[in-house]
Amino acid sequence: MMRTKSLCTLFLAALLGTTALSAAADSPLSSGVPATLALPPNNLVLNAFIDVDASAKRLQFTINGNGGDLDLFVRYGTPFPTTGLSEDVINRYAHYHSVSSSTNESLLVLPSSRMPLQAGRWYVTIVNACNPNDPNAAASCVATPTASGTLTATASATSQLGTIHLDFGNPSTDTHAPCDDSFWTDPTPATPIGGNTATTLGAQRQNALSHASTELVNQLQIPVDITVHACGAHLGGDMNSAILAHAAPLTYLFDDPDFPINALPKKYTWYSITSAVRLGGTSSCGLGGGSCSGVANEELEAVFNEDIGSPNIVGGEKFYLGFDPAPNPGHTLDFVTIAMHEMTHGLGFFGLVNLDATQGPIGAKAGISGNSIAFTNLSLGPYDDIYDDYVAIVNGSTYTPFMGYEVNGANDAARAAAVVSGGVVSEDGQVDSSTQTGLRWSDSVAANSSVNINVGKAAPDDFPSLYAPCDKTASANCSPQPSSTLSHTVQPGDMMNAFYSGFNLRSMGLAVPMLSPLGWSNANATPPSFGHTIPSNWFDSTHSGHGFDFQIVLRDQTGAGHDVYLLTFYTYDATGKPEWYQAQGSFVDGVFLPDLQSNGQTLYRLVYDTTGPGQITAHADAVSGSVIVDFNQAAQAPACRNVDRSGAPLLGVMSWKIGADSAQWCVQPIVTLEQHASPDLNGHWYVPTDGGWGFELLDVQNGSGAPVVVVYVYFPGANGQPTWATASGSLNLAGTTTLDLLAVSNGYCRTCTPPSQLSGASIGSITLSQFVTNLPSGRPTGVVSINASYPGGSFARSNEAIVQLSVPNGAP
Amino acid sequence: MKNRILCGLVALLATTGAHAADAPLPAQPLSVATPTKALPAQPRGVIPPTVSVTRVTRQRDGSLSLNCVQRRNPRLNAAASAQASGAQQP
Repeated sequence: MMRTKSLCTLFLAALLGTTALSAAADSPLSSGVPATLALPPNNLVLNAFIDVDASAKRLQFTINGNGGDLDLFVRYGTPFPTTGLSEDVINRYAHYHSVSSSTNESLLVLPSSRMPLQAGRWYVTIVNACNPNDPNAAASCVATPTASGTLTATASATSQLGTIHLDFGNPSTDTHAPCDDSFWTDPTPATPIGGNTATTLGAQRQNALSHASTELVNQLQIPVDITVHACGAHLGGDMNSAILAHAAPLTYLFDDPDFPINALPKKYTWYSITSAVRLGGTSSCGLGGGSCSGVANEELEAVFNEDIGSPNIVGGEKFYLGFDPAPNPGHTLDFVTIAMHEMTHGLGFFGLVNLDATQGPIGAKAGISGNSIAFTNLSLGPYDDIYDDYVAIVNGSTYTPFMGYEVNGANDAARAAAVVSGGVVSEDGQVDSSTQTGLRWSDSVAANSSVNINVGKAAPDDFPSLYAPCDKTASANCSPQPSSTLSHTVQPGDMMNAFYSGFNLRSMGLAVPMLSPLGWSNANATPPSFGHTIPSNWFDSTHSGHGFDFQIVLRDQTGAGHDVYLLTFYTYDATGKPEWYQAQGSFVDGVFLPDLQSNGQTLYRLVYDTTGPGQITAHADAVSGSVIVDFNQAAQAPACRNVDRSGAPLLGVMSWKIGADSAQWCVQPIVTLEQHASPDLNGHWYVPTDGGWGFELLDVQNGSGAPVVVVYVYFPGANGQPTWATASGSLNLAGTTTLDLLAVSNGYCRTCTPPSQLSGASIGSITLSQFVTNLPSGRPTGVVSINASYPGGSFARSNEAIVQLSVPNGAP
Repeated sequence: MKNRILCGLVALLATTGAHAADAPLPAQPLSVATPTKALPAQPRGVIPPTVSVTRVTRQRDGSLSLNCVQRRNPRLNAAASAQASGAQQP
């Protein structure tokens, strides 16, 4: 995939150049045969590959090594690029990654994975990311920076179940979150019961939890390994009531341009770490990075009350530890049932929408404040969560998504109403669940499941109801029960019913089909459809006056789809003066990924040294910059939900960093392809013999009238700083068009509040003439003159021959 | 015989591709001077706000009622405590 960097001879990028690797031959891997690795820090193995046929049911990649910090990246179909590589760029290309701080990594790709296992070539890239000078570097990296080991890729035609590993030996004395491992080693003699043959209390408990885990693996057909931090704790209680156990996923995470996890199907959406590990095919530390030691590499925590059995706790009732269902349901604390219910929550059967008025608005989506999930004072978000994405608000025969597209939490109130749409709470705390609630599970797998008592009815009557009690015990109005609402079913006898006593439960019931769309489906996945873009001028309506010119400047004639894009970011500096930056790169899986320049940046600003005709020279400014534009599922992004953008023809999320500032902006094209004039002169233009300045031309049809053009001119400003100005008017195709050149006089910095209206001051003129389209074999040409005067200098060119730098719309 | 050996060598090379079977896969430097991990450690792996809790209640008829509720995640308290103690350190 060596790509010609023709930009280097064409335009501004010539002044920097991109970094290139020497092309090493791609290395084939044989299934099951270890390949040797010996990687110094800052080195990589690029595009090793394995060819897989259609019979494969599993594709496992494993690195076993010592020293260094090897990271593993896998991509299907097309190889990783050979130029401008950093680990960040490689990760963005990768469909799967395992990037822990250790040198042992693994990835499992399945037919049900997001980029499904399928016949073809799977590329592997391995990076030694060890930086022994990093104060956070792992000890093995510091001691032995060069990594050695093996990479094994194994394709298998047979499916295989994973394991829920139970970590009984990681105690904690933290008073807030204690974990007592003696619960699992209690030597008190015990009589074998219900198939549990252990003869000590601790061993019986271990066996019972193991049995519950096996039930989950078998019923969900879990193909990956999950690790549970299993704990005992003194959770207390009294003669009438006690906590038996609690559980949760240890963390939640999401995929966005600043934290790419391409294995997750939905962007900007919270996933439990358990679901994410299932989808990512690696462990917690492999998926999210960091240490793999102890609880840091576990996904679920389950804590059991070791006070149960004490005489003063619920009359001394003990856990029933048999594998078989308890013989007297309703009068027995069936450990296996309780463990299965709680661990099912830990697998992601858990909505994050706020139900607690003390934490924020009822119905609010979850974001981040500080380092915690929160509902107010957010520094990031809010985001949908994958569980709540499959919940519907039902009203009669109609229904709407519980999440859905909305602006600024507009649907909080609707969600708040839905979570109290069920029966009224009685004095004993129970709810009449004989009628359906207005809060239901809308995914078809559960609706069509034979375990659903409403299967066969028309939607939404076949949607399983979720627990949504109207609690009037505190006031005349319905209040939600933050304790149980949303994350439970109401179907009698279902394991995930909020009140699940009185039944012989070993079946997960509705949880199996309900967990399916949350990442636990084993059905063959459809390869993902990635977002698309168009060459245009893109802008964020909440940052009007900033924007970027986005053009294809080189078509990949190999058919691999690696066209070269040029992005010119026109913006303002800290004082409001117009300035611009550039990036060039590829469009990969719906994302603009800029190349790494020789200065280590992906978004750079030039400083001009000389500006005479044909003599422009410049160097890269010292300011650090980067940019990513992600066109996938942008409507899900918080940046796209701050104002109503439902009318935008396309959306993307531009994530930029310049100096100490960064932001995500929601961008849309100013002009669509359908609005282009004919002949179509839209694109980026330059003077081949006078590289270093240029302009974007928007050429828009205007009914029967002359096309309307808008010009963004990028050129040297005062003190060699890059500046830009605009012009607009009617285009006289047959003659000469002279337009007033305006510079924005009240520009505002990228993190500043926009003025109520932008103003422009005339700084000269631009004249366009002699346009020839030259299609289909050539690129459009014309003639330009420019005359710009500004405080501190001027820029002028006369009758220079211009050529469209960008690939004309529709041209090969 | 010599031809047969040569043919065998050619076949061996063809099946092992660009590197010998026991030789390391070819390595090359990254384009950046210092490696940087692909993912920052913070802030995306965050603790959930609540945990699910199964509680047992003795009913008037003597039966045991199990009710699953949610409550504040104790790990949040642990994290806050750790953060507070860390802030007090010099």
